[in-house]
Amino acid sequence: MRLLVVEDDRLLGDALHVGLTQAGYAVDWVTDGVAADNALADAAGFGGYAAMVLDLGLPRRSGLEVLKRLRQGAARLPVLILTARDTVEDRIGGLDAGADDYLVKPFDMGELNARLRAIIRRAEGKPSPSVEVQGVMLDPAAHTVHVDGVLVDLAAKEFALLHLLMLNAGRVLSRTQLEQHLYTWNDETGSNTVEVYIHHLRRKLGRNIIKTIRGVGYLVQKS
Amino acid sequence: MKLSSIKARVTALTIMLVGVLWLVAAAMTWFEARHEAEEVFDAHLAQSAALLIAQTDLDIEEDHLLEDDHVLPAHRYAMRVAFQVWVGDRLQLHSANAPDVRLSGTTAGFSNNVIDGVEWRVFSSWNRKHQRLDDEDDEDDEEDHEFRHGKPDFATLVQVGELMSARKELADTIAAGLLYPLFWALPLLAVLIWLAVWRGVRPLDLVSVELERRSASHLDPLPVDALPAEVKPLVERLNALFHRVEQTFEQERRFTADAAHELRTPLAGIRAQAQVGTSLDNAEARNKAFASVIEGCDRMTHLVEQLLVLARVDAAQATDFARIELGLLVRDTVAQSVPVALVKGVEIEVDAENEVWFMGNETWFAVLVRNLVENAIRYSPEGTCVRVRVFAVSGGGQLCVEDQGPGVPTGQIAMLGQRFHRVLGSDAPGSGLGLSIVRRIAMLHGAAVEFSTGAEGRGLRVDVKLAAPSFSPQ
Repeated sequence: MRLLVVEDDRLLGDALHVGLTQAGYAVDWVTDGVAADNALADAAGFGGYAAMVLDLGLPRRSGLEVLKRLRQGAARLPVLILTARDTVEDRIGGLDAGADDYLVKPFDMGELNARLRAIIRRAEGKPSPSVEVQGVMLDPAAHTVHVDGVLVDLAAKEFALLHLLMLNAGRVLSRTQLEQHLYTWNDETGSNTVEVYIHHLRRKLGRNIIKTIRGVGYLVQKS
Repeated sequence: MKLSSIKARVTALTIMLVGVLWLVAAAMTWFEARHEAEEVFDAHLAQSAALLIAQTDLDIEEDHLLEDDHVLPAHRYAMRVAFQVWVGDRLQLHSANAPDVRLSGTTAGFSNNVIDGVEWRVFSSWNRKHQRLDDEDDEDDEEDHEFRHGKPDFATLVQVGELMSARKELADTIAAGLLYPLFWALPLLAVLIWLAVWRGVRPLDLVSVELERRSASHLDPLPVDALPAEVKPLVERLNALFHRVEQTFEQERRFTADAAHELRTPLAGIRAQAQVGTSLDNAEARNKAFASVIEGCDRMTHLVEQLLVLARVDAAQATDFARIELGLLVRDTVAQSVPVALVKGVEIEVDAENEVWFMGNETWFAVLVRNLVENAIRYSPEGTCVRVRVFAVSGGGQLCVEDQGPGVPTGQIAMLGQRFHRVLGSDAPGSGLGLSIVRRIAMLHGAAVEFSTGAEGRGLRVDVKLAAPSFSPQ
């Protein structure tokens, strides 16, 4: 899944980038409000980000403004805001402006991850954190996959790919779409990287829940 | 006697003045009245004498032998008035209270006489009608009006007298009548004045009650509408003072809040880096995380130090000023920043050939210069030059620091020096407090700070204008 991180502080932004990438996301990191708006506009091309981590104290355009513009466009992107301001008024203001959650600095990276998962889950209408399809159970919080109760070891990108396909169960995702959700602007992808991961997944899962639709893409059927 | 109460003061002053004026008026009135009364009495005496003369005249013409007679007193005051009718040496007629001897030695007009220790005011009138014709011979004679011996003389001398004590008593009664009211009128007046002043001073009491309710957290302005003209300016100035104090408190609160928030972001960065670092298995990446943690700590340290400086500058007073030569101070301070500039690849030029003196605190002003120079270096790209100039202007001196960096958009120049305001969008790790410190120190020294765009339209130029010390003969 692809995330947009908007944070102008170099140290914190870098930590967020590294930490969230570690957690399996593809992270795009921008440092001001205008760049954030541009990134959001471009995101329509690949189906949009899974979530946005937004700092409120930004140069050139404040975080609240970015948020308001986003919501005016009726976008349902989950947004978690980070801020140094902790008064009740600030909290109310942020949530009323359209944020899905609110974290005060300094915060715990683990908590940030959990809250991100929660807002993404809510946006997808899946109250239960785990996703299960045809006996394959994927737990995003624990970062585990069980096939019929047996734990399967997957690489980060493999996990991300499977998660994406399972979340969109019943829908075909093209290779390009998959690439856009798995990689950031800075990553260089080989032309058949996705195919390689699909191949690895099929082998590790031991059952083929991923169907290839020639010329279109891949999908995971619901049952 | 100093009275600290307005009511007491006004009352005491007014009562004293009223009392004094009343006494003066009373005295004047008393003298006037007594004088007029005396004239009335005297007129009355003369009138009585004339009446008596007319009466004895009739009696004599009718050839009646006048009998010794005395008239009973007919009036309250009558006991004090006496009359005598002398025919020759014989007391023909007299009032009951008349003495045996002549009331007065003089035989014409008014006189005062003491008989048996009692003072009399006497009017004597000589009935000249019955003077003997050969009195004409004695016109030049002083003894003209004296009785002649041996000659039957029907000339009558009328003397009417009044006890001086009676007159005095009358005068005293008048005086008493004038002064007596004073004893109850003055206290009553005092009470009335006190009440009137109390009423008049009530707005002050109301203001005082309102003030009681004010505290550091409650500095609303006092109501001004119903106030009298004398108190209004006082209350309006008080309200202005409240406003200023409230603004200062507000600034304090905001500053503390802002400072706390400013510290949170570096803290968040340090924590996040440390947390991420723990889960990295790559040694190189882990070291990078640690380095970031240290960098974050350094940044926070710088911020905290600037906060302390600002707090101290805020509390500093303009005391302990000495004569300082600006060029020398600038050269010394810039010298300390040269290594930093060299590392960054930025050049510093100092032009301070003229001697410029001013009154100031060396330590604080060095902080000002250092902040300006460090700021300029921080925002200067590699290969550019920071120019520091000192020159004399009419009435004082000027310090100018100019860089060739990105500068500040004109719209934001006004915000420079606001606490924690950084020209965002630059990667420079400033604390946002440097220019606030510069502004505050300049204010302490009575200097003006001006921001403008640098030469050739690039960079920021900061001018600090100082006034020359007034020279006192040593």
